[in-house]
Amino acid sequence: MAQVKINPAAQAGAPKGSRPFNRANLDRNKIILWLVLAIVLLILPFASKPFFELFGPTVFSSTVSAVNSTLLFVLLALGLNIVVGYAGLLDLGYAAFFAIGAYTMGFLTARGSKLFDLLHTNPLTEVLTNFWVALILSFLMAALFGVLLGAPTLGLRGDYLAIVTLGFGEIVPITINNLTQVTGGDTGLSGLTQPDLFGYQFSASSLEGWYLVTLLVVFFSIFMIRRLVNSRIGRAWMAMREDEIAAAAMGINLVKTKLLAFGLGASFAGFSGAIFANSLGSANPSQFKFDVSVLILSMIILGGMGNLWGVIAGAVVLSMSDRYIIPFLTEQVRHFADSIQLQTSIVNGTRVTEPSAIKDILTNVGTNSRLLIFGVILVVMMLVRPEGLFPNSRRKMELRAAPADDPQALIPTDPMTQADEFRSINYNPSDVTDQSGNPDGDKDIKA
Amino acid sequence: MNSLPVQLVLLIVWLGLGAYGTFMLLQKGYRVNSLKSLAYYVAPVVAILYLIINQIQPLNASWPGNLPGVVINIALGIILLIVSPALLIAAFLVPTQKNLDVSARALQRDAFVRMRSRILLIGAIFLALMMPLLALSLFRTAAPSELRYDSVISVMINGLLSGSLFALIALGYTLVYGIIELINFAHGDVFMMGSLVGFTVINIMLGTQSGRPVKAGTPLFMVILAIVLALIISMVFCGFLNYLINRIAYKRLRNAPRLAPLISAIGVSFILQNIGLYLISSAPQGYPVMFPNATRVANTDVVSDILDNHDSLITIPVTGILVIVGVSILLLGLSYLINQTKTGKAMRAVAQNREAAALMGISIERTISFAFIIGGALAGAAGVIYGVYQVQGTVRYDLGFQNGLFAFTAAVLGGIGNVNGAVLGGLFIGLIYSLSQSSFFGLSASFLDLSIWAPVAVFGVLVLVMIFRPTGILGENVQEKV
Repeated sequence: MAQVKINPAAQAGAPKGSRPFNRANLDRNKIILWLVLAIVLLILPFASKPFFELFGPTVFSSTVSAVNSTLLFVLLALGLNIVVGYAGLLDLGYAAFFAIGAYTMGFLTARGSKLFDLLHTNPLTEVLTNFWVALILSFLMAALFGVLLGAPTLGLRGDYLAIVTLGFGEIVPITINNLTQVTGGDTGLSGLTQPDLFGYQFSASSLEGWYLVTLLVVFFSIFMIRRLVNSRIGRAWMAMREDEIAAAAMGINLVKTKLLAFGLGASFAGFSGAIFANSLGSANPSQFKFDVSVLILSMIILGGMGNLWGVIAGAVVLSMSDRYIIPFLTEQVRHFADSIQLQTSIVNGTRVTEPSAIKDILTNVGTNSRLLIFGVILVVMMLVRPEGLFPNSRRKMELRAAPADDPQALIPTDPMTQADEFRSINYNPSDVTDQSGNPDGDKDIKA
Repeated sequence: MNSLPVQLVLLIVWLGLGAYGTFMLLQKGYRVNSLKSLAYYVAPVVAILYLIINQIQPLNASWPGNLPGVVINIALGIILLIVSPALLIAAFLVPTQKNLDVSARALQRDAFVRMRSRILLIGAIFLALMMPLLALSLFRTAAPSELRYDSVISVMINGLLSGSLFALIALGYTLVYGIIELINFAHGDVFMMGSLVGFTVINIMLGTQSGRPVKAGTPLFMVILAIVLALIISMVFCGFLNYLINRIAYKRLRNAPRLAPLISAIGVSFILQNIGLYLISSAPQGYPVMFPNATRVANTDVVSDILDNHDSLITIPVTGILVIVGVSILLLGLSYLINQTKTGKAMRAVAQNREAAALMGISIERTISFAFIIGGALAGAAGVIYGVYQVQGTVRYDLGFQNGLFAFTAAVLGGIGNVNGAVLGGLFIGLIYSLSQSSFFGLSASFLDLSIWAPVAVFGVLVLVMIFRPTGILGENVQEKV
């Protein structure tokens, strides 16, 4: 399915080859690379099943479910990257849109919900309760909320924007939690109708099916974002990120551009939330708390903000560690703790087990270390490599501010890191110096 | 104790101090030193004591028949509840810069006019908050207990008490933001660590366990000693912790874009939460019940017990006195530190203009570290006072998250970077939270149960303030640099 999407992706770029920044799309090797990647990813779960089953009966399913949630986080990170990475609007409440997507899907397809009953009984509106239609509606609803919650913040910059989005990010889950009669309160919605495609009935346990669906959406999103970033809109976002006033002076409509960034960014979370809710068969307000927002933000920062592939890498690294590596490691620690033999002694004829401090500490560490590991990753990343693992070349220049009197130091040496950058084509060192070498530049958040 | 002379003396003292404070305010505006600030602060404290002791007995006994009595009491209540906080706020609101240039007198007059309008605004907001409640309590003949006048007062007093704790935490946010423009997300968790340290110290001192009353026969002296020791140890610990956080996680990022230290702060917050989780696991723990009537469960009121007046609905746990005394001492100390000492002067200078301060020979890094230490110490003290005040199931590893956000909202509401604003904002947030948590309007149907909407009310205030007045109530308008 995915290569059907990818092929036009590459070809659609061809007629516009006269624009220099789309030149990459003409590259035949790149098309082949895409095709190979798509095919490999598509057949991977089916091909690797026997391999995983060597290790145990549940290893395969736990791996695929970890991969599925990784894909959902990739979607979320891609969406947040639009808002924070490209448009430079720091959003600390992104999980709110994830929740809105999940709950839109829930309302439309959960058998208990009133909306579902209302729509399902009428033959005209029954189609709305179909998963695929509901997926599009969740996308639209999240985009709508992105615009609605983005609109009041248009005049705000930097920290203030972060605070307001944080406020919204707290208000939305609490509201969902409190509107018990509509959303089911903290037990949430359950019994979502799951799709059925060409006779294949999806369920919470059909992991490969969800893998394919999510992968399809991820490919579609990557295609869409690549096209967007290299378009007029994408360049408007980046101009706005660098300097709002200069961008407005260049004729960019800031209101429209910002709202578009908020809406599009939120819509990816809508996709992700809808698939998340439906693949689990339920939605619950505790899944959309502040730590989810922070996790997604950490992903794009770890990977390299503003760089598509960096963001995807960050999402894969953090999500896989969250779902797979950290649980695995902590389980090993717990096993080790369990294996410590407690010394027993006979006191007054009764057997007394002597407490073991090491065992207690290890059990504790093995049980509650998730936050610590994330915290350490965030702090160390910021101290050691604030531009992320795979930085956007422009951002790297900003963060590794070289002395202003040495413009040569600002020129990135590795041309490969500039693949996404329109500026890398006709690029002028003095121009760059003006942008980032100026010590008196405004201190606003630059994404 | 509930005799007429005591009441009269207290009333006269309060009126005298209040009148003196108002007079000073109207006459001189801002030439107020810490002694006079003390006077302003004492007035409302005395007022609250007066209120507790007075108890408004005749009103409750004859509700709703005694209309004149009701009106008089409500008027008294309005005066007490509006004038007292207004005076309290005024004490912190008044700029206390001593060395103002004489030629800047016109500027001073402008500042004075602005300040007066702010006081009026605050009074109006208080009135707006109070009036519907009072009107409701008047017109409902069969007043349910939560609509009774003294119940309203009780809720407001408790709101102000917890608000003053928010203020202590908010000060840490605002001190740091004022100097390095960093939202220190880890600050709420420093507060949590403070609460935890105090918990440990008190348990060791008194040999108690989580949430249990202290052993019978423990002398009161010992309990107070334990609390004071816990306060001191917690303040030192949290000051040092905050210093370390600054040293390790923020110092190297001084010249990085704003986002980098912000993310680093979130990381530190996660680390501290996890340390808390290691230390006390995920089950909530509680400070030992140290005073016989301090538990909230029975909704008892130690003052009512003393006065043998069980009809009153004013419930203030005896630990509220600790809050008043502790917070007053800390705030006065901070006020002295910032306004009178050389270090405080350096802090103000660095906040105003870092480069110029550095040129004047002020060590920027030392000043920043000092701000972190002060903020941490205040958060540590707040942690202990919070634990002693709230008692039941309060020490949790994620205690700092919501309280930190509320305190941050308070700092933003008052005008982030503004020390007086943080105190004002803290009191406001405490009031808003407390009022929205109680069910005054009888809206306790499951759909509109107000208590579950209290966080939404606070965050709603945060969003509204940010959208309509991002500089907060007391914040100055900052010119946008291009």
